[in-house]
Amino acid sequence: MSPIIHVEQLRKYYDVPIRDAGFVQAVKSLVNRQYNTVKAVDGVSFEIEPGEVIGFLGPNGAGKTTTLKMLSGLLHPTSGSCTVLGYTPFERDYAYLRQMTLVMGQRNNLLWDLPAGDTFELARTIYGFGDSDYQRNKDALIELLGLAPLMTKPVRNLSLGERMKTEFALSLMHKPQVLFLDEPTIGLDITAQKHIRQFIGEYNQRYGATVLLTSHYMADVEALCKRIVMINHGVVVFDGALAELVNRYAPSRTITVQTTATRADLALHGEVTHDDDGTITIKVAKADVPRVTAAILAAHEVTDISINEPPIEDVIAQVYGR
Amino acid sequence: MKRAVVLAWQYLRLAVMNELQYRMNFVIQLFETAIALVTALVVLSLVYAQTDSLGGWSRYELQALLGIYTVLSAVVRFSIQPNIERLMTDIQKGTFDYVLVKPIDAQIQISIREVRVWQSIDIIAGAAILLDALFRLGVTVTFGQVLLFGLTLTLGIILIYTIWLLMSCIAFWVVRVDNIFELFDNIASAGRLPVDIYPRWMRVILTYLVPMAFAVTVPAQVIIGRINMSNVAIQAAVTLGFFVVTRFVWTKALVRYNGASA
Repeated sequence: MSPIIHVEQLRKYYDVPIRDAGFVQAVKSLVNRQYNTVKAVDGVSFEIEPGEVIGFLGPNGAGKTTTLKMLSGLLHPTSGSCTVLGYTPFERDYAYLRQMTLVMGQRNNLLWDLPAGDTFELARTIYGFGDSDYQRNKDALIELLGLAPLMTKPVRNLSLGERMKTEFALSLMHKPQVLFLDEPTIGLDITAQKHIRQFIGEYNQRYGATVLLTSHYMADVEALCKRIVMINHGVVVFDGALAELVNRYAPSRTITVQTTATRADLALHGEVTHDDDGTITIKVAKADVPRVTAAILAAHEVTDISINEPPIEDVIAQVYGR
Repeated sequence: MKRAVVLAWQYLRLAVMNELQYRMNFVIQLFETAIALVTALVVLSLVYAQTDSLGGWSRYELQALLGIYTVLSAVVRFSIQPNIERLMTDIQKGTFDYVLVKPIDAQIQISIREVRVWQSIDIIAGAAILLDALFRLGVTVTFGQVLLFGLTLTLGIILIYTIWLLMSCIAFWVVRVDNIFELFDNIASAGRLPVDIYPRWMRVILTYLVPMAFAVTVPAQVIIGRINMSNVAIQAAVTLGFFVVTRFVWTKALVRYNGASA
């Protein structure tokens, strides 16, 4: 299969006016404005196969949203190229726009004072659906998201979670093949996050859609994305499987032992991070795990032992910090 | 194009459904309209207590013009202004992105989304003033005149729309431009009177810079029977010119928005 999204050496630079704080500086900048070039995206390359769900990660300001905007045709790249479904996004070919969607978790796309059903009718005209297609797509989404009771309530009366589900239904009415999701679960409670997450997974399975997802919630990424692309300061710092990221960037494991041994005994093998009534956790370099485990088992009476990877958040924080 | 018409109709329907929830707005609008019209008519009668003619326009001819002015400015508040305001807030809040990812012309989308239903009261009131003036002038209006009036009025509305949109395009370069609309509002209110009564320099501004003269005066001339076909032709040409220029600037503005020039 050939890639559905192809990004090569993509760059986006912004000229941002700069000035020091204070009134005099403000007046000066009115006359003689100084600009700073911000390299929001600085040579990003990756390829995505049809049907993949990619976690697009990076700290705030890393260039995630700018990249998504270039892919969805909202921004013109400074240099480099990207194609999606064979189209050049910034040309905004209607045939392309009909096959993609952009969901931004922080921005509302529904008519505020009216029931969601009314906004759906508008989408129907915009995308030019026939009656049966429209009804079928709408019914499928309503069922998948459990929206039936929400369709008749004015949008302003919906909770954030309910609204986000409805936003999703609206954004997917035209059955797009490519989904750009910019922090779709931001601000939602755990249950609502889980619903959205499940839905994205099901939509991907059912329609074979390609999904590029940014999120600050690792649970989203762990549940949905086999592969992640991580960027920082506008460049790709990692592209591969989530497991590989942990493997590569988490140099230590934790060993938790239920034992009669004392804290001092185990401190010989590694840093004790937790000690609670006979359950002791130590941090050990990845390469030393087999040797340390064997040594503990040989020297002490052990009722239970487990070896764990550090939390994914910690690994990612470590990559960001590099 | 057919999709655009259906979409505009849907937005209108939604606006009506939405505004029906707020009956108080209807009462307030009725009140505002009444005050504005009574004030304008009183001023008119005070002026004509002193003189018989202003720039060659008699009292009821001027009332006809006032009626047309009322209709046009109500159309602005009915549709043009709310849509442009929505465009401004969309650009500021970033929701304009949603317009650009939809497979339908962006200029059409942003021009039809908002309707202030109760402003239609002013349209009716303006029409009533116009009819009253025509009745008092005792002119007979031919069918051809009505057609020509409809044409020049439509051209006037298109002209005003293109000027509003042209100015709002500035928002793509400078994000806050609210003040410009106030300035425009003030200049536009000069259209309340026929251009003939202003000094020459002001007439030039009103005719060529902010062509209110064409939007209001030409339809008024047509309906009171002072038809001047060359004025009508110039109005059509100016409207077309502004329309083409606006479309061009709008396209440039979109390019600016997506940062192609950077």
